[in-house]
Amino acid sequence: MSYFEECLTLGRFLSQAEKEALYRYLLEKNRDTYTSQASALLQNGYLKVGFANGEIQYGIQDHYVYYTARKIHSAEFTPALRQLKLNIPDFMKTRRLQTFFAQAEVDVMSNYPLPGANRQPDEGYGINAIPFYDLNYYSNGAGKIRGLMKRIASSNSEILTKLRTL
Amino acid sequence: MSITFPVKQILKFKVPGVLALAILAGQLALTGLPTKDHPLCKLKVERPHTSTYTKERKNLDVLKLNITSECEVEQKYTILNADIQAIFENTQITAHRFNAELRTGVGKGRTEARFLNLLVNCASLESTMYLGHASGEVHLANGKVEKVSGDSESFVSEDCKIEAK
Repeated sequence: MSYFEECLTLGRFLSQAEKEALYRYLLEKNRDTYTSQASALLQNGYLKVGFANGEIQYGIQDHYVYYTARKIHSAEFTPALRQLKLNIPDFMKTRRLQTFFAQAEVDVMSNYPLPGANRQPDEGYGINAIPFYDLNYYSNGAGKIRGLMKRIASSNSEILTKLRTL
Repeated sequence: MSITFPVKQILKFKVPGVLALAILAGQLALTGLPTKDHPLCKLKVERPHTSTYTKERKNLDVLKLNITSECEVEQKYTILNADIQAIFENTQITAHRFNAELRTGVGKGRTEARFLNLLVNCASLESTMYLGHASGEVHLANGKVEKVSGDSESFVSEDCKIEAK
């Protein structure tokens, strides 16, 4: 089992550092897949994707992309808790959607992990209030400039290296 | 010739009882009944403690903070900013600040949001005094937003020293 496959089973036991590294890993590993998904979403205004033990439905409404998710075979979707502005030039939309897809997949794998050894607490759907694509995440809401500096300082974490190699 | 004013007649107003009640009812309808400012939600912050489960499963020494936001009505979600306060060298400091987290409402009537896995690694097993603290807002199903805050009330010692950021 690779380290990434192990992460798919950890769910709520993924640390913040692991989630952050997974976001960057998914963004670089799935670049081509996300590009195809972005053009499908922009064309149809709707996209359905399976990831880990969950299902993600993306939609575009009033120049915003949003997602809802549910555990596979479950009836109920989460509310749309994340949304991202898309009122930007077309050539920038694909890049922005790539970051949104990677964030949504990290959210889903930490809430709906593949079956594994860890007992998952009954917590409801949980996410970081500030997403990884927002520089405010890295400064915990203390501004984008400080966030950018912190992000650069932590750009090559040990966990990310482990994800790329193991 | 002297002029006399009918003083008694001018100062004596007579308001019928029914009219007085109608005026009072109208005023209450405009301003509303006096209400007691009663919070609909509260935070239950448990004391930070070392997690035996994470030690067994991941062989990691971590300090864990559990928080529940409890409401009297249905909630959509709660957003929390939580931190751990510690006593280092006789001074109270913020030892760790968690990233802002969001949880959807669960339980009967979706009145609770549970934050059961706020973890921070122990740098050593040195005994240290900790207190959990959090503040945030609850987004109720009816669209209203309630501010909440709370702490674990007293500092309690744990065999874990976290690296203060």
